[in-house]
Amino acid sequence: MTGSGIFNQVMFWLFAVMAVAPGFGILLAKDIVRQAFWLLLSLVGFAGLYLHLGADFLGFIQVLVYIGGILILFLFGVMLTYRMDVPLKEVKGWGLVFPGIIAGILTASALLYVASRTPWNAAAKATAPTVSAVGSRVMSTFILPFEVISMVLLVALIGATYIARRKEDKGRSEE
Amino acid sequence: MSALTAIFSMSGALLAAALAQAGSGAGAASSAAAAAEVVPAAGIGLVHYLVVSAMVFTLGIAIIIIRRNAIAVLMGIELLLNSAGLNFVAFSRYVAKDGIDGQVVTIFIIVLAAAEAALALAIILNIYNNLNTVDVDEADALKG
Amino acid sequence: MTNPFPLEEVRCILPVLLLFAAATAVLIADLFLRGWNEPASGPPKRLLPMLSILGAGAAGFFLWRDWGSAPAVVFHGALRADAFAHAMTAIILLGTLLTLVTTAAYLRRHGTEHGEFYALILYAAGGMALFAAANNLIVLFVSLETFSLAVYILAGYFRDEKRAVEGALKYFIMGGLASGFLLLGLAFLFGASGTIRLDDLGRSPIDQPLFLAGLGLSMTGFGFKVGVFPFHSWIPDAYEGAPTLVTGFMSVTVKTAGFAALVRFVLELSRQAEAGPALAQVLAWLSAGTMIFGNAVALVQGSVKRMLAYSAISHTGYLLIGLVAAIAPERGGSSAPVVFYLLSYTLMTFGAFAVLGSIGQDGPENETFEAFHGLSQRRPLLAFAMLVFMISLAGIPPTAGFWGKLYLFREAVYAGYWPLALVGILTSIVSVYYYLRLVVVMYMQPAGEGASAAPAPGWGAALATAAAAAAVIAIGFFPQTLLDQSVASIQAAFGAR
Repeated sequence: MTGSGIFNQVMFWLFAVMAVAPGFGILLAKDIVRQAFWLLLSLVGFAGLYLHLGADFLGFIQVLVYIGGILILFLFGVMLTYRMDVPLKEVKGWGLVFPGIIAGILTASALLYVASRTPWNAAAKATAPTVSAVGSRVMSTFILPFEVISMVLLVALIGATYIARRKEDKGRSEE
Repeated sequence: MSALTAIFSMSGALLAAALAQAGSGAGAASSAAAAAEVVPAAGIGLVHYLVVSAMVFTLGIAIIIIRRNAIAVLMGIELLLNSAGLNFVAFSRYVAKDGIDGQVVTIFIIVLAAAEAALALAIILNIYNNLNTVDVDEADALKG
Repeated sequence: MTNPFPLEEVRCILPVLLLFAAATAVLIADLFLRGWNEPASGPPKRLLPMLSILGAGAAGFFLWRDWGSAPAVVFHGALRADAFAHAMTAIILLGTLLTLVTTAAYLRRHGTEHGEFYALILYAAGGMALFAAANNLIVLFVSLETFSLAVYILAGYFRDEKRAVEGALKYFIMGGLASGFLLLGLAFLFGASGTIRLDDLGRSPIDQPLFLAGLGLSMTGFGFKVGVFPFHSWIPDAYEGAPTLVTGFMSVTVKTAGFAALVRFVLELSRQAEAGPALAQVLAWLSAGTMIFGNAVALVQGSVKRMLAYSAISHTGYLLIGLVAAIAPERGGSSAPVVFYLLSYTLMTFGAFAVLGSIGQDGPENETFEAFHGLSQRRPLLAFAMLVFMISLAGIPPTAGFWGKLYLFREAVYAGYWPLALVGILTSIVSVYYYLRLVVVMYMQPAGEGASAAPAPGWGAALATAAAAAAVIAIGFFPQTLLDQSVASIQAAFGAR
């Protein structure tokens, strides 16, 4: 898809703006619900960029899992804590500014370096539907991380139910 | 303090935007003769994706540093993961031997992001429930 | 098509599989025992720690059976099972076993013994063992998340205590930031070389600027994880908020796993000729900064737990010396002392936290220096164990900590980084003040107002503390065998370095 067509360029710029601009929305919005919807827009933008890069399966996964799953989770979180913010007074403060600035300078300078030194006209490869290729890759080369990720999900499940469970009565463990 | 970091991160994002111009211009100028038939000068190339990714990454860091609501901070982390994922797919398409590895990595990243989000929201809910039972002003038991 | 999941390669990940299996078994056993736990600490509940110790022990047994086997790249390049991975897994298992043996009585004392605790410890240990052997970028990240998620929950394990859960949230946010940096760095490395395999990354032709950018970003991510100086800010809060023994587990095993991956990562990537010297220079500055900062701030802490947290930061600085020596341009040094130091660090730091967790209920009042006043009269053996751990942490002979620091500084000198060794020696001298302050308080001050109750520690905690103290002294007298093992593990895995 990548190439010269005007349509493709328009699509890229549309999705790029869609992915980046909501970042400012989340940064500046006053209301947590608005932030959640800005995030939705950004994730759709990313899905579009994936499609634009020829990763069709990934684009749909992004829509299904991220927007259909994670964002709904966020909205639940927003709803359940809507009456007041969960403040992070102490995570903030000067402790974070220094690493933050270093990190930002690193990112920016890395980008500057990269952009100035790399020959940018690397040829894009031809695209084809990727579903079967991705599937067979996951089931062969990436079989080990694929199995391990089930452990990650199990840990998250156990941990989330443990942490979010109601307070226990003193003297006996929960029913 | 947040003003300072805001200025800083805005400038980071603007820098990225400026780089998009410079990068595409310089790249096209330096090796236009060699690769003119592969990618037209005005076409969309790797650098465009990298710049989008870098801008989102910078914004994600800014959100993590500036916003005070835990859920908003979590959104910042999601943006970081997304920008890294975009980089993987873009490199996979333009650089790697075949275009699949990076896509698989990004699928893994999406799954891990889901696990992280579920866990973080559980922790936030726990804090919220504790907040409801006690005074909000005492929400920080730990000293910085 | 080749077999995607070759069974003969499963042997290499048997310890990991056993840890995961034991964790799941604990969870299932917990479900069945739930209706049957009257009284709450009766025999059925004892089954859970037993089961998890059994699982970790079995993992250790199979690790020992594989000890010294030839390096093997398994699962399509996903893992590299070599002597270094074995050594690191052994240290992680040691920390895990010490934690499991110590915690049962501790949790019972706090009335929160759940099966989830043991399961999460085991899941974390399994993830760390994978992290130590990871040979491709995906496995590196997936296993990092496995143990990170488990440790976030463990940090907030006392879910009704505000400081525990807030500490967990801070830890989570900083961990998420670290993951973001690491991931972006890995993406750049992938873009620079077109491969996701670590052993190929060091050898394939690369795009120079992209490679350096990726290296910088991923080192930032690792820096957050192991607590290098400008990225350390989460450590004191997360360490203070977590249950004391979880803090011990975190500071010991997470650091071991982090350094295991870091050593592999740095040694593989510095095969690229241009990357090595620059990286050595950067790491040297970070190391010096971490040593100076950690020790300076530890001096002024009023809480023993926070003092130990800053001491953990300073020890990260010492460990970095080993990395610098290994990749310095003169190539005279070796990273073998890192293995030695991590083992001694595991023993002495976990021991210190075990004593801290034994002198009373968790809470700020039992973490002050006043709580330790006159401990030598109330619990002479506990006080003596703490004395051993403190002099070892300070690097005074004849203890494991002394030899660990000596070997690290020696490698720095061999590699031509003598100023780094000088900074290390000077900061060690500073650290003697705050470590021995605790000893003075224990032995020379009478028990006052704030003194801890110092209940009987329970046989598990007593056993683990005594074993750790004995090992610290034993290594102090006979360090040579262990050093030979460390050198052998590094040489078998990475060649000369």
